[in-house]
Amino acid sequence: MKVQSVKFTCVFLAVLGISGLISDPLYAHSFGERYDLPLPLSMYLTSAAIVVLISFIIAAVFLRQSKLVNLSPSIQLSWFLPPGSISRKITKVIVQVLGVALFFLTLLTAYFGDNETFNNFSPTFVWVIWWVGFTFIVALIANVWPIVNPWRTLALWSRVFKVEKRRLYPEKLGAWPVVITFLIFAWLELIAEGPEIPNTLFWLILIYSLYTWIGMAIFGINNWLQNADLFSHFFNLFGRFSLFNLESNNITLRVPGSGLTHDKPLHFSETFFVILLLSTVSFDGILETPLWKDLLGYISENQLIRPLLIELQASGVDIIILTKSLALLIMPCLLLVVFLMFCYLSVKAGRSKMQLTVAAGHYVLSLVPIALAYHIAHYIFYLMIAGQQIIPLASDPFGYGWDIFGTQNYAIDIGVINAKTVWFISIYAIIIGHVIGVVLAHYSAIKIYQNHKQTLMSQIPLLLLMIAYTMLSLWILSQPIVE
Amino acid sequence: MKLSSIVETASLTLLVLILSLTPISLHAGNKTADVLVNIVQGKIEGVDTLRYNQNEKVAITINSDKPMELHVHGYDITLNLKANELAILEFDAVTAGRFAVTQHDAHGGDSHGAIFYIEIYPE
Repeated sequence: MKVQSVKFTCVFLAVLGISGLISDPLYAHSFGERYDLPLPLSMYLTSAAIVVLISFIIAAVFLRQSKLVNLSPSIQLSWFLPPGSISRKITKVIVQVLGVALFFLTLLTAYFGDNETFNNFSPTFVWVIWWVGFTFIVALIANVWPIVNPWRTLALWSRVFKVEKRRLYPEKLGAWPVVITFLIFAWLELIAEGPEIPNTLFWLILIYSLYTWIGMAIFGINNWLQNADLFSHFFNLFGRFSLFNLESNNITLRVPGSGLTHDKPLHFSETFFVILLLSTVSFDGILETPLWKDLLGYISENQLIRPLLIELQASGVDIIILTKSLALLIMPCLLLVVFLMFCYLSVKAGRSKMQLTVAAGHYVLSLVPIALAYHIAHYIFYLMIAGQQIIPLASDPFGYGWDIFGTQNYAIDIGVINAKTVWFISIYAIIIGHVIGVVLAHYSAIKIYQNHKQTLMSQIPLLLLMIAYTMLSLWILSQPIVE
Repeated sequence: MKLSSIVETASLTLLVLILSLTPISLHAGNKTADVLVNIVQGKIEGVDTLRYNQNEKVAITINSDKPMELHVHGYDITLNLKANELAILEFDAVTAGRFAVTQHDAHGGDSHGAIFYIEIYPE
């Protein structure tokens, strides 16, 4: 009975999906604009110098202090929503209901609303408010995604799914399903034309929902989310940086970034996921630099490739999308090779017999603060401006001309945040992110080596890598955005 | 602890370097004077980025060999150009940022990429 109904649902959704995709009208509109001014040369050089200076100061501090200091002091906030209390239960239910309500509002507006991107609640909500804005909250304040997650909440409420393990998740798979689905998601977000169209967005959300619920049905809700779900993985990773830790029984206040320390090295698939995440964060910025434009120009004018390109174009392949897609695949591999190279140097310098993948698994999380810092610098202006779109859309989510809150005619104020403020937020974020990254790497090394000299030697290659990575972020910010 | 003293000396040298670099003005370095923008076949001739300081008046004289509708993003200003007839793009640079100027086609979309950019530097 149950199996039949699932089958029926699948067929029904598939038919709906096909009819929906076919009737999609084509729009060519870039989603949301960015007005970021390139970082002035003086600021670029100053912050670059500060980054190098601070790296050396941290190294000097660690020269004197080789003992494993407690880098993660935390305060238990036992008075704040204590476990088992009514206030905690009520808050949880409110957040869950909010998550589910927004989920349905997104689906409904995406399906029934006006199909023009800026007249519809769903694209702005999904791509700006949730994907960019919510990430800021998770990374800086607390990872509330497990509670907000509407797919989890709905699964819990339905009581159809088993909460805990139903079947053992195959060890061998590791985080590879996450890597593959995240690649698809990144492609949709950064390259594909269409995910900003409400109708297409609807089908994408539906496909993901189906995938998630099938996974939950097979492995159990939490088992699936912990092991194979890309968004849970993503928010969990950035959430390890945040100020509040919600994972333990009591809510705890901790030093930002201290959640990124760990005792066991990450599985190689997890390491690759982190690297993939880092590269996609920088990818969006690199694609807007004049260098990328020149590179595209060079490729298209290259006599060797040109005939092939013309042939491909004739057979209906979009060359730009193809090149971008290749770049999206090549970038993480390139970054991985560079990262492994520096890990190898670090292992050699520290005279350790550690396996390379193990060393990579130890150090990779220390790169997360640098990636997060760039993420903030790259998106803060965009979030402040494109995010305002949600104000008129809240009044008229379907684009039917409603005016629920009286904000339908709200005009976007592009002066809401000054370009100079954006510059300062960017460089402070990048410098602080770099500091936390360097400290984390030292912290990991102390745990691995115990021997003072080995620790220090092993840190030199990593320090250089981190400086290079931070410089890359600064360099991208100093480049003018070209379309 | 010889190594640490080397590191400290290096750090100090860098600090001096930084302090000497810091007090540089953030204003538009090579500010654009009154210019004539010449658009030939939908492409700009010469530099493609015009720079102004915030709260100045932007006045750009534009000549195009084809009729088109120009669109300044962010400020959301449109300007109709007739073939080979000078037109002036004028506005107060209230907000800082980097704004693309694109060509609106018949459908109201702008799929041709930016013709040029206007950068307005904060005060």
